[in-house]
Amino acid sequence: MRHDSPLPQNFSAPIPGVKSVPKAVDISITGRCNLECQYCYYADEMTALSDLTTGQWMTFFEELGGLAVQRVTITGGEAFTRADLFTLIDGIITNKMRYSILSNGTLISKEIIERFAVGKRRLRLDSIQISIDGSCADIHNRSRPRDSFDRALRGLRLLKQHGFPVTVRVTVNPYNVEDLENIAHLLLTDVGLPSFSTNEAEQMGTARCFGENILLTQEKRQRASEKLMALNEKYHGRINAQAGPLSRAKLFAEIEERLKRGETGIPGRGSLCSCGGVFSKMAVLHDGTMVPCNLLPTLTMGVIGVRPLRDAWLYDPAINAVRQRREIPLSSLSTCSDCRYAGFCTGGCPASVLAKTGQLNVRDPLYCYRIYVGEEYNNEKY
Amino acid sequence: MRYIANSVVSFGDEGDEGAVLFNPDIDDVVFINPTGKVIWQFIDSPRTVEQIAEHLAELFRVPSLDNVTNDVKTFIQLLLPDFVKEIEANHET
Repeated sequence: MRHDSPLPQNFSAPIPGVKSVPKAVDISITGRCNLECQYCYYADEMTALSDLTTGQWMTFFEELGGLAVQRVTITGGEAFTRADLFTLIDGIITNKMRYSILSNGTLISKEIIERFAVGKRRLRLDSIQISIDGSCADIHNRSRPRDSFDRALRGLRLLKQHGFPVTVRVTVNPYNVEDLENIAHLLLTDVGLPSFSTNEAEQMGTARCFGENILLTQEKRQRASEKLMALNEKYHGRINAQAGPLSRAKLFAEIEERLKRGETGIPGRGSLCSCGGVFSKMAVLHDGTMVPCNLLPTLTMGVIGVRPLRDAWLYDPAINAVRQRREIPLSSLSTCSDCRYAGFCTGGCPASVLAKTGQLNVRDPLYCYRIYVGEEYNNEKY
Repeated sequence: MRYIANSVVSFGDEGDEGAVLFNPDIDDVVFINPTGKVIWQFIDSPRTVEQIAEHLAELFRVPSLDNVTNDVKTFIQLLLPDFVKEIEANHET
C-alpha cells in the first residue's frame, strides 16, 4: 500500500499505548509580539486569531489540573507582552503544574525578575528559553528587528545573574552560519550557559515571505552542519539540537558509523517515526484551538472550553494521524522503496513536511541520507 | 501518627494500571498500583495506619489485618515525606 496520500481518514479510535492525558501542553498565550522576525513560524496565526481572556485561560488550567497534566510551556507571540502573564503563571501553579517559557528576551527587566520571586513562581519554573541568533547586533538583527540584540542579551544576562534556569535557542539562518563560533563563545564562555540548542529557519510563517533570504541553501546547511559538529566537539557536547543542521549531522554520522560496521538499519527506525512529541504532549493556539503541535496549526482538534481536552487527546483524527505515521514503513513510500538506507531513517519532522508539501505521510528530503550523500538528486527545492 | 496526602500532589488516574502521583514542587513522579489508588483516595483526610488497613480489609474482604497493616506501612514509607505528610496524632489539621 502506498502512503503518499493526503491526510489519512478514520483515525478516531485511541492509539494503543497512549496515556489517557498528555504529560505536557504547549500554549501560545498570545498572538501579540513586540518583534517581527523574518522566520517566525507563528506569524500566520498571530494575525488571523484573537487572544483568549484571562478567565478563559484560568478555566483551562483548572481543566489541566483536574487531568493531572504535569507541565505547561508558555509561548506566543511574545509571552511577556501579556499584562496578566503572572496571573496566568499563578493559575498554572495553583493547578499543580510546572511551567516553562519561550521568549525573545527583550522585555525581561529587573522588575520582571522581581515578580518571579513571588510565591512558587521560581520553584515551579523549569526553564526560560531566549532566542539569540548572533554574537553581535549586526548579525542577530539581520533576521530580527533593529535593536533587538542588545535587549535580548540584557534579558539573558539578567536571568543568568539571578540564577534562573535559562536556556538559549539559536536558529541557524544564512546570516549567522559564519558567526556560529562567535555565538558559541558568547553563550558558553562569556554568558556562561551550561549549554544551548540550535535549529533551522523553516518554511513556515514569515519565512514564506522572506524565503530566499532566511532559509538555508544546501551549501550553507552543509557548512552549518560541519561547523556545529566541530563546535560541539570543542565544547564537549554542550550544543544540542532536536532539529536543524546539527541534528541531521549527528543522524548522518551515526548512519555512516553503522554502515562501516555492516549494519543495515537501527531498531525502531525505518518508518515515519521521527516525532514522539504527540505521544506525550499537545498544543493550544492563542485563540484556544487545540492542535497536535504548535508547528501543525492547520491540524485543528476543536476549541478548549467547548471540547474536553482529554477527548481531543485520545480521539481526534488529527493527532492520531500524526501518531500513526510511525506505523508507515519507509519502504512503502515511492521515494524510499528502493533505498538501501531506509532502515536507518526516520522520515523527518511531520510539521516540516506538511508545511513544504501539504502532505503528512511523506519523508522530508532534508533528512534523506541518500540525498545527503549525493546518490539521489533532490528535485524538491528544499 | 496520622497520614494525609500532600495537597500539592496531582493524581493522574490511569484506570486499571493504577495512577501517577506528581509533586510539582520537587518535579518527582511516583506510580502507584490500584490498591495504592484506594489508599491515596482514603488519605484525603488524616488517617492512621490502622484506619487505612481496616478500610482496605473491609473493602477487599481480607480476614487478617497483619499483612495489610505491613503493606500499608510500606506504602506510606515509600511516599513520605514528599507525597504523604505525617501529622502528630493530637495535632488538628
